[in-house]
Amino acid sequence: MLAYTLKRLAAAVPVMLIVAIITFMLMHIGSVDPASRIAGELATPEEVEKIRIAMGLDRPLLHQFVSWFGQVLSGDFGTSILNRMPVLDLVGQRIEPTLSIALFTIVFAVALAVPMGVLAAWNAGTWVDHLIMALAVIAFSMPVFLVGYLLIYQFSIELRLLPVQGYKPLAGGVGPYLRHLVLPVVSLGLVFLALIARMTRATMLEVLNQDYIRTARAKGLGNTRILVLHALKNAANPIVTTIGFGIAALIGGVVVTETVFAIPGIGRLTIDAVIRRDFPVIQGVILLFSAAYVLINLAIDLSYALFDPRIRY
Amino acid sequence: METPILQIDDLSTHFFTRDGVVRAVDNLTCHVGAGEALGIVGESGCGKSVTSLSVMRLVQSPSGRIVNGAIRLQGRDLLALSEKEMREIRGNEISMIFQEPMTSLNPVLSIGCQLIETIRRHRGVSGKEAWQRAVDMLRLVQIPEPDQRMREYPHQLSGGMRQRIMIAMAFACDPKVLIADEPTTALDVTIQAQILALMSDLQKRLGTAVVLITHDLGVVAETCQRVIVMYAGRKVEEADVGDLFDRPRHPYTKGLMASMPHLHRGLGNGQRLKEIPGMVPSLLDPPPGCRFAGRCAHATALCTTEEPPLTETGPRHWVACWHTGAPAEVAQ
Ligand SMILES: Nc1ncnc2c1ncn2[C@@H]1O[C@H](COP(=O)(O)OP(=O)(O)OP(=O)(O)O)[C@@H](O)[C@H]1O
Ligand SMILES: [Mg+2]
Repeated sequence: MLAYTLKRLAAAVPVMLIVAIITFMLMHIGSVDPASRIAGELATPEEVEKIRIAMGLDRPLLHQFVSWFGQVLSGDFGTSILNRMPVLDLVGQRIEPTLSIALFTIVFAVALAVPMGVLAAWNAGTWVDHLIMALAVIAFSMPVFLVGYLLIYQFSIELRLLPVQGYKPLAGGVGPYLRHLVLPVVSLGLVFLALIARMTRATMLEVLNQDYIRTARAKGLGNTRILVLHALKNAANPIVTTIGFGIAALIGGVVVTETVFAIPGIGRLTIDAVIRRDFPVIQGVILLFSAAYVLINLAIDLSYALFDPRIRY
Repeated sequence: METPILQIDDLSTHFFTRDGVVRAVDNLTCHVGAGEALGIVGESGCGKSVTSLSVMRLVQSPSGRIVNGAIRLQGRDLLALSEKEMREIRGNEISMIFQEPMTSLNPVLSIGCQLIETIRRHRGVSGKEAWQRAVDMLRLVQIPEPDQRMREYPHQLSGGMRQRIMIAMAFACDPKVLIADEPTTALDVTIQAQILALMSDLQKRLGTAVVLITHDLGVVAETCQRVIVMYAGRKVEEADVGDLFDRPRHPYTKGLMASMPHLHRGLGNGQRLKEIPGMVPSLLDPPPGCRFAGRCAHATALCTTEEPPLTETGPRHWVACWHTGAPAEVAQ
């Protein structure tokens, strides 16, 4: 298992290198000249040239890449053009809301979707199944921003149950923290929930038709044990795979959610950086997201062995 | 004769499909005495598995339904039981072994887990006692190093081993009746013989009544006392094993015997192996009359219009055929 993990991490190196090259090139293929962007709108051409030389932007690209990549490897992602703060510090400031939304969304979606999918499969063809699947289709086809605004209208403006927008850090108390997370998590989680519920149902349907389920029934076992232990454990891997894909897709959704709910997270940071061409921040965020993605995938692959004894690393 | 332990009377199990009603089992009656081994033989698709699943009340619902009949275990009507009561019977008083040892065990649960859960489900024993009982059962079915096997998973074992585990599981709660649905079909010949010998041995030692389902008359000859021949969802002949082999009455039974290599050689009359021409008819809205009529060399007009009743042609020997009165003519 350790050997496999190391092998996978080694295999991730070229992937990350390619991501780094693409990220790096972003700065140089656009129509915006980084030097004049950094110098600001009021700078004279001489000042721009000075900055270009000071930052090494006049050197050959390969040269620039190697020194930039060397810095990244040593943990230095550069400083923001906008507010002169180190990129890592900026990200550090914004990571809590984003991680909170992501984690709660995953928990919310998985905790509801798996039982729903199991219930639908168990009652396949009945109204329970049709109802759950109809809800899933609706949830799946509603864009995050639409759900977000609908929820805000209903629960914050009409019923005044929850805050309209914003974020309260955990340090300020669990209550306000959670209250501010409810609507973002629900609106982001619905699509995810629908995806997992559908996958759970499909996989469970297949598993429930297997011979070993008939054996379990013939042994006199109860439905709960058959469903949860005998069937769900067999269905776990495709479901976990879907959850993994979902997490990757979540990254895009987080950006939208943070915008809708005015939450100062990584998503907002990214949007602001893109709008203002703050290249070091864009590069840093992309690299971090890619690394997270690689690690999540690895974690998911490793988890397969947890459910299926035939898989050994 | 003492009362049978398992009585199936007039059982009809049908599947209500989009294309029509599949009469998988039609008016089947059979009785199994305590400690007796009953064989059910017939070609693929004649309703053997559906019969056994009916006894367990595990026929695929909602399309499959027991539409008629009674199934009694020691006089107790299983069809009248609630699903909860039925779960107390399954794996406990009636247990079952399936055809496919490769897929009948759960691939993600250890052998020990699967054995122990059966024992604990029906015997209110501690985990430790259940473990001990499971190990004893593995020893009983002659699995080497049972303690180690308990921790292994199905994919680490051969087909023969897995079927032994299924047998251990089936016998774990001392069932009164064991239904074995083609337990050896998927195994190779030498393993087949071992598994059959093991089952016979356990059956005699523990006094369990066995219903052995197979399409191989040779297997029946070796292990059973009585035998039922099924054709297209119906019982066409029933007799003691020796009697059936000596005096088969139904043309289908004779056809089955003629298509068996070793039995035939035993007859020593120089005839070649014959296969029964034609195919099992569809069970979807079958035509009236004898269902074998379409493949029978002796079929007459009567056969295609009227269903032959089961008649007793000898001691404990029943046949459903219009032409059993003329064995000489049928025999060639
Ligand atoms: N779920 C189902 N839906 C519709 N028809 C079914 C279903 N299960 C079984 N049947 C039909 O019932 C008939 C009897 O099937 P069964 O499985 O009992 O045959 P079998 O004698 O066990 O054959 P085999 O030797 O191949 O196991 C077949 O014609 C089959 O098509
Ligand atoms: Mg069968």
